[in-house]
Amino acid sequence: MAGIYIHIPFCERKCIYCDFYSIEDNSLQQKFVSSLIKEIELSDAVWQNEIIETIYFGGGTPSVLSPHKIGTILKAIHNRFNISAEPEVTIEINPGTIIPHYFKEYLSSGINRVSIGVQSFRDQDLQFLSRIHNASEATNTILDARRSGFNNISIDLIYSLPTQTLDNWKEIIRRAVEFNPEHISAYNLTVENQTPLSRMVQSGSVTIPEDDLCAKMFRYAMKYLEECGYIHYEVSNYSLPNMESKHNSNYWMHKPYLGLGPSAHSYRNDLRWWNHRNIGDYLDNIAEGKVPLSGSEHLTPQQTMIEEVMFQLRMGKLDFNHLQNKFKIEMDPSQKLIKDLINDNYIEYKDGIVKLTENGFVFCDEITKRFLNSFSIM
Amino acid sequence: MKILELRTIFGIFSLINPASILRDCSYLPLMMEHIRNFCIIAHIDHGKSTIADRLLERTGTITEREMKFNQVLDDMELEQERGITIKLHAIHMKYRAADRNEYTLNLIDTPGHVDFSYEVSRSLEACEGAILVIDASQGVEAQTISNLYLAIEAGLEIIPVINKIDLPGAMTEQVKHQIIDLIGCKEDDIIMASAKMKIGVDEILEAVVKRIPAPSGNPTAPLKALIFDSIFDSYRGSIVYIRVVDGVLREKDKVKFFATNKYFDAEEVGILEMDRLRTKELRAGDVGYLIPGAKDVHDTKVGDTITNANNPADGPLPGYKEAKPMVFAGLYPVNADNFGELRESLEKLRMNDASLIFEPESSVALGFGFRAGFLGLLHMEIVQERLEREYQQELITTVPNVEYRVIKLDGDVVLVDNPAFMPPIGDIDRIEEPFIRAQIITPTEYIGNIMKLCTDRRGVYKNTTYIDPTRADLRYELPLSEIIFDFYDKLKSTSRGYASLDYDFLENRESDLVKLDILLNGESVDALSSIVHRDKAYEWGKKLCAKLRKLIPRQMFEVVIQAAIGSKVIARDTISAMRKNVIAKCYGGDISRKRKLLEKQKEGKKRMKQVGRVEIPQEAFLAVLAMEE
Repeated sequence: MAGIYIHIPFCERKCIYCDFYSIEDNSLQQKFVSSLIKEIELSDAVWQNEIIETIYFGGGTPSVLSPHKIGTILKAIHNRFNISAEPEVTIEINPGTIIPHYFKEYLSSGINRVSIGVQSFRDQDLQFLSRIHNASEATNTILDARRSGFNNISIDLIYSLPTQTLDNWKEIIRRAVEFNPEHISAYNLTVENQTPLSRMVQSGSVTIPEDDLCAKMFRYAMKYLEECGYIHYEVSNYSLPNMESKHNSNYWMHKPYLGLGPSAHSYRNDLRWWNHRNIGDYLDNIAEGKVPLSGSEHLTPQQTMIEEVMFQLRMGKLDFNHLQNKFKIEMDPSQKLIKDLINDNYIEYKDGIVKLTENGFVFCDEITKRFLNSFSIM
Repeated sequence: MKILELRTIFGIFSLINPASILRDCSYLPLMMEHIRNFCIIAHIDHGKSTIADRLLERTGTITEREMKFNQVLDDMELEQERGITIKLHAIHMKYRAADRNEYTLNLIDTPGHVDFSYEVSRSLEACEGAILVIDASQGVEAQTISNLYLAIEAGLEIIPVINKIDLPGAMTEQVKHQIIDLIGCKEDDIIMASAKMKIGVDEILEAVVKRIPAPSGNPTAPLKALIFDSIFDSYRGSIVYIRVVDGVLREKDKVKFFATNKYFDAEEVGILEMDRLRTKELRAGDVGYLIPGAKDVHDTKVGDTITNANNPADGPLPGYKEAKPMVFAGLYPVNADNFGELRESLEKLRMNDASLIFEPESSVALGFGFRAGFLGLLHMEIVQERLEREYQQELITTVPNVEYRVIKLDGDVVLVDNPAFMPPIGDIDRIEEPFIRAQIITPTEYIGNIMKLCTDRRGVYKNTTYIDPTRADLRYELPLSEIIFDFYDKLKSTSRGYASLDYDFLENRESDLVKLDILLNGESVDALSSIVHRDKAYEWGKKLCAKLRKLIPRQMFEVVIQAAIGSKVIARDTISAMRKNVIAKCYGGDISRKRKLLEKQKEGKKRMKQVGRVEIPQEAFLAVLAMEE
């Protein structure tokens, strides 16, 4: 069981907060697609032995590529790899980049899940984020996807915007639920280094809301979405039962995945590697018949353990029996930390399994740090 | 400038000993009247090293090969400012003077910092004269004056030299008048020099021969030799630098050290040029070295007198003092596992630093460590730096303090060198603290600023004299505790770097002192306790709480910081609880980054100290040092 990620590095316009790799020059599209197909052919033969269960087009803005180009890429993937009978095939869609009939063409080329970058249903928020779409375009895109026959739709939202109050956020998340999406990702705005947003924050022209408010928004999302039948299966991800993103869940279970395209990361058997970020370097490598490898790291058991603890807690649980078996972790027999965390209402604990409470999710990183500090590999 | 001082003294400590070269005693001067023993008194940067280098060059003491070696060293940044002399404690030069006689000139090095004034006085005691070097562009400074007074007290002949006369900023005439006022010499006695331009070097050498008297000891009396310095050599043990006052010291003699009452065999005796030259004997008037086979420097203390055990002198030379630590601080390993290593390192360090004392102590906040005593702040910095650089120890050093004399109601006297061990308020009758006599030399326009600084530091004004119309000499009595933090830096900043300071211990004096405790969520943090004057306690507590609020990271719960005297809380601050700690995204490219952050935090955790549930970063323990006025 494995996944394939394809990074499409084009955007009509870069958003101020985004630090994913993309360029606004769309003239390289054709060259990129043929290079990507070459990269698929160059990929290590070991991947041919894996059964590919998920394929994910991310970006950038994959929907700037025509459905025909997407279809060509998928065909190449099918030719090269062993794809399971019912794979999950996702494409990220940005409202404003898409023509309604595209959805049908995506469906017929084998895409069966769309992740729509709605971000907000308020024009003010969308303007702040420098998105190219407005609220009504976002609404229409969701409706078009549904009407075209997609029965697995995810909506991306961002909260903790300087333009938002808690009430605004409540309204946004209620609007999202009205579309009955199978999946919702709700991200706290992150100020990434080297983005225009981070420069704006540094210069003082933008003020990020206090943690207190961010936490309230997060708590509201958790509470409301759960009431509406969504399962909170990762810090920022919610789905109707059995509709989790299989592709992303694979990341968090250390399953192998092959990343294609500039800056894409891959993982297999404790080895992680990543492609050149710059499209020029990427294209040059492929033209020379080389895998566009930029770097790699081999995880030590300790590092694998750290990642697993982090992934598990982000998914709201920690399985001690599994950790003890796999990593020979020595745990504090007095369980002082567990008792403290239960006392402070961060976790529930039963039969060797830690479960984060709603409060626990708000402090997930702190709890991860404390668990990691409390045990060592023997 | 502080760095430079540190380096200079550091250089002395880390001296690499050359192997000894055998010469016989015919290499020694035949007659005492042809010996001149002298030192150079100068403020840092005024050109002591360069002048010394010129003398070595001019007398041919440095061979061409060594000169090249030295020039190579001079290319390295660290060595540039030092010159060659600081690697030498004393150096033997041969000089054929204008009177056609060959003279033996022994140049004895003196440490340049106030922490080491006792060592300075012992070096001066080994001389009959001193070259006083004043920078033509800087004029007289406090350090120079205090060392000059020590030299005059020791009865030394002073040869005033104005250096750097070639500099565009030279105020030669003004400096001349300062010198005349200071030592009452004639204008003609002052030598104009520029060591850099090689001006005045011959005049200095001739003045040394003509003006400085020959030694006046008795070669046939029982041996009396003064130890003016000692170093540690990992192969030979202690190597002492001595001035023979009376009698003769020969290899294989059984020698006695008066102060320590230890007996050793003189394994090796000689003089010092660029190498150790083994002459097998030293006579009255000579300066040289002795290797007594003592395992460390504690048996061979600076200022002690050596005599011949079989034909002993009646008593020691006057002036020996036990070096007394004035500043104390806790030294703790950052990682508690390294306590044993730290102990070993300190023990090794003590082998060649007779002034360093330490004993184990423990702290609730910091675990196991040591309380160490130092001659002064510079000495403390040197020890810290050596532990870190030479012994790779990672340290948390607590805020330094002085030693308090606590007189309890029952009449018991307790010496407290760690604020955490101050007896309960109810048991105390009174507390005494060390006071120093401070001398501050400053351009007159900064007198106001400096007086304000001294008043803020509880200084008692004594008097002001004027060295010349533009420079004043202020005398204050100050509590030592008030100058060990940042007084020197403040003095420099308030006078644009022009004022200079010198001080010596005066006496213990009663003061209205209280112990100020810091509590985190109700638990006292022993390593943050301090002893302060009652009038300052409120302000101090408030600032310390505010500083700690900035240094202690948010925790998952609220942290209340309190400053208290006994059970009375006098200041309070809070660190509000963390509201949220989770990153939003963790996909392909985020994973490594996030894991590395966790790895770093795990590493950082080892460096965190914990009191109750509150995690405290090590910087917090030095909060007091970084407080704003």
